[in-house]
Amino acid sequence: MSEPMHDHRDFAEAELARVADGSLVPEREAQLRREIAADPELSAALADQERAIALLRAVDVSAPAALRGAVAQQLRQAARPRRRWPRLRLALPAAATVALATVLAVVLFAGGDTRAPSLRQTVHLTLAAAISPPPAERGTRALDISSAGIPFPYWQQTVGWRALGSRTDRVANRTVVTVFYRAHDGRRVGYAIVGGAPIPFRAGRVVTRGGVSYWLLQEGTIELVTWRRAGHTCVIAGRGVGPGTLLRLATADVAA
Amino acid sequence: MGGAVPRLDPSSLGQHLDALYRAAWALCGSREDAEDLVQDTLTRVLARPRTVQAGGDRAYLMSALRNTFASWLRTRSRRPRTVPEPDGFEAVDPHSGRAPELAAEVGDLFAAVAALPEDFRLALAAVDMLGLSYGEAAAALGTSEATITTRIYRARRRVAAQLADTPAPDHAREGSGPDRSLRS
Repeated sequence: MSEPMHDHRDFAEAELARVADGSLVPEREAQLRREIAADPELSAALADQERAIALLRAVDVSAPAALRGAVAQQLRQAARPRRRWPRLRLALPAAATVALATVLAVVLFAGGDTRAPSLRQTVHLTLAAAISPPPAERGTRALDISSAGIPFPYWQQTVGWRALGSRTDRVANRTVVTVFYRAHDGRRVGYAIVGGAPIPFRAGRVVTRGGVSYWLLQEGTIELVTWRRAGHTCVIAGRGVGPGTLLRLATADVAA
Repeated sequence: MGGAVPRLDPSSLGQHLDALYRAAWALCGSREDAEDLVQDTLTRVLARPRTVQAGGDRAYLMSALRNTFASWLRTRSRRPRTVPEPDGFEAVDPHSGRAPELAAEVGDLFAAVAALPEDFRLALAAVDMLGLSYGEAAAALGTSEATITTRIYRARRRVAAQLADTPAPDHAREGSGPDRSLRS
């Protein structure tokens, strides 16, 4: 016979836990409460249990709106039938894409800041539609597209995200190149590189990897990470993509 | 021939989100990490259809949360760490618009839970945060009901002691619980 796993002390602890949270049948609970009431040590132990339960079960913290939005997006994507778009089909919604790009360009160019695109403008581009087909791979780590001399990463082999397409915009006299990527589970991000002097933005959570500072921010339900490469501003943003994933993507970028 | 295998219904996940977030916060000790943990957990869960065993959706989610958290711990060295912001940036609290429920007492409570040993935290998150029964928690966490119950007892004692800002009495320490049996 092996030794019993739990001695009388464990048993008493288990009973006290159950008395405190009411998970015993009433008759048994009443019997134990009488016994506990006669013993100061047990009474004190039960009081601690009940106090902790009162604190823990009174917590009424709701999930933040950003998380709620991101999860809703995940659920919508999960409910959608999985489709694999042939590359040429990317040109299919061309009319809609051109219309969106035109509207976006008008809106962006009409913006007040003519020195540099704002972070918000850049993020809008990362959520826009692709205009050009997916760039070809150049080697195993980069795509055959760049902005300000910085190549965009080829993530399919490293982190499993494939390039969907790209677009190039002029915003506030700056060129912004954006490449769109999609994960196998349907999540989508846009990776924009804004050439020229760094664009201004509000500071957020900062993390450092390999000596590079990455800022993690939120714009409503949009999560984004921004950092600098060779003095230019890089932004990866998407809906339903957590900061951890964004950071993994950013740090999986090609070596500067 | 058995009956139809119960499947996790993705459309029902939203109703567990608040409880899952609280459990994740209890595990991580940080609301930012809790958001990431919940999102990573649901990404894994939604990657393919899931079979739900005893305890239903919540027990399944607790199990998934535990597994994702364990995977996080394995890669802890690669987790981001917060550093001071450099000069030239306007520092604002990215969570300044949050609701007042993030009061100091709640923060203290989660800090007390996060300071528990991992097994205690998991048990407390499963039972007192997610609302699982002892049996469901045991199934979700892959241990026995007796073990869960003992861990719950000890975890609650530590939390109560920590929040009372007084040292736990002798009988609250592990291995020195009430030194007498209750009659069965």
